[in-house]
Amino acid sequence: LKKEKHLLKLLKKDSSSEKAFKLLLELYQEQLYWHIRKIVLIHEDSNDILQNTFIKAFKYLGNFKGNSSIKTWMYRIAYNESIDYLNNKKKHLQISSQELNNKILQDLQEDIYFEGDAIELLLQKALLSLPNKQRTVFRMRYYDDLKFKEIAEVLKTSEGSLKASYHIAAKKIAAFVTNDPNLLT
Amino acid sequence: MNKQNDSFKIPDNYFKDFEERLSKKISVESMSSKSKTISLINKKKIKYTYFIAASLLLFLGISYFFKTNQKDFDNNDELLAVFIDDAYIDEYLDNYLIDSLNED
Repeated sequence: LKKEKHLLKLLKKDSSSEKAFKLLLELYQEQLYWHIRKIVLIHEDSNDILQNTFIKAFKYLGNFKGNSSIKTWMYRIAYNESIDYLNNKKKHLQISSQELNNKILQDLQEDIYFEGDAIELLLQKALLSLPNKQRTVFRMRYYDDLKFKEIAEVLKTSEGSLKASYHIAAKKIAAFVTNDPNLLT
Repeated sequence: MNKQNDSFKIPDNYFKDFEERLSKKISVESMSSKSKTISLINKKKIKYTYFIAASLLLFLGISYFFKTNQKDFDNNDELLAVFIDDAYIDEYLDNYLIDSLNED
């Protein structure tokens, strides 16, 4: 927390803001990349979104009041950018959410930076079958290892409802994977 | 820390090169926003120049109009003066002729 406060001070000072931004980049680029990647799944898309995330952070750093931690602020930007990206893609291609999920799965199989087997694909399929909130909470808790308190700050919702969503999501995924007929063959 | 699994790969040196690519993109973005500002300023300058030129032309036009019309007015007065004089002379001559005829 002390480090965060110090970093924020450095970011707000004109003389040290550039160095502090580099530090911010070093601290969060990898975490945020994987956070974004687990939402959009495709590497090229993740790369674009990660760049946009840091550009937005660079632009709006002056508006950051410090009500939340820099980490959750950065995660919020990354999450919003990812969702905006998917919504724009849906609009651009004029397809439904279900059709977009199918397209993402298809693109994932063709992505040269994905080497997952059938089980991994099935897990991604199970995740994409979940409602948006359950999927997001599951990803943030399971993949990003964020605390429920941090997830609540990013998504601006209560911890209690997030915990419930996470448990429902875990159960649904387990059911989806075990009920898949291809898994038995 | 994030749990990454082996299925999702990234290009070699991706994070190492990311900073460089990002700083390029940020400089391009700030350049384009600067050029947008410059083009906006230029547009304003052009608008002001047009406005000043149009005002100047209008002023010159009005001045020219008044000058030309002033000449016309002067000319009209002269013509009128000549006309009045001629009429007076004609009348005088007519009266003179009538008087001399009566005398005869």
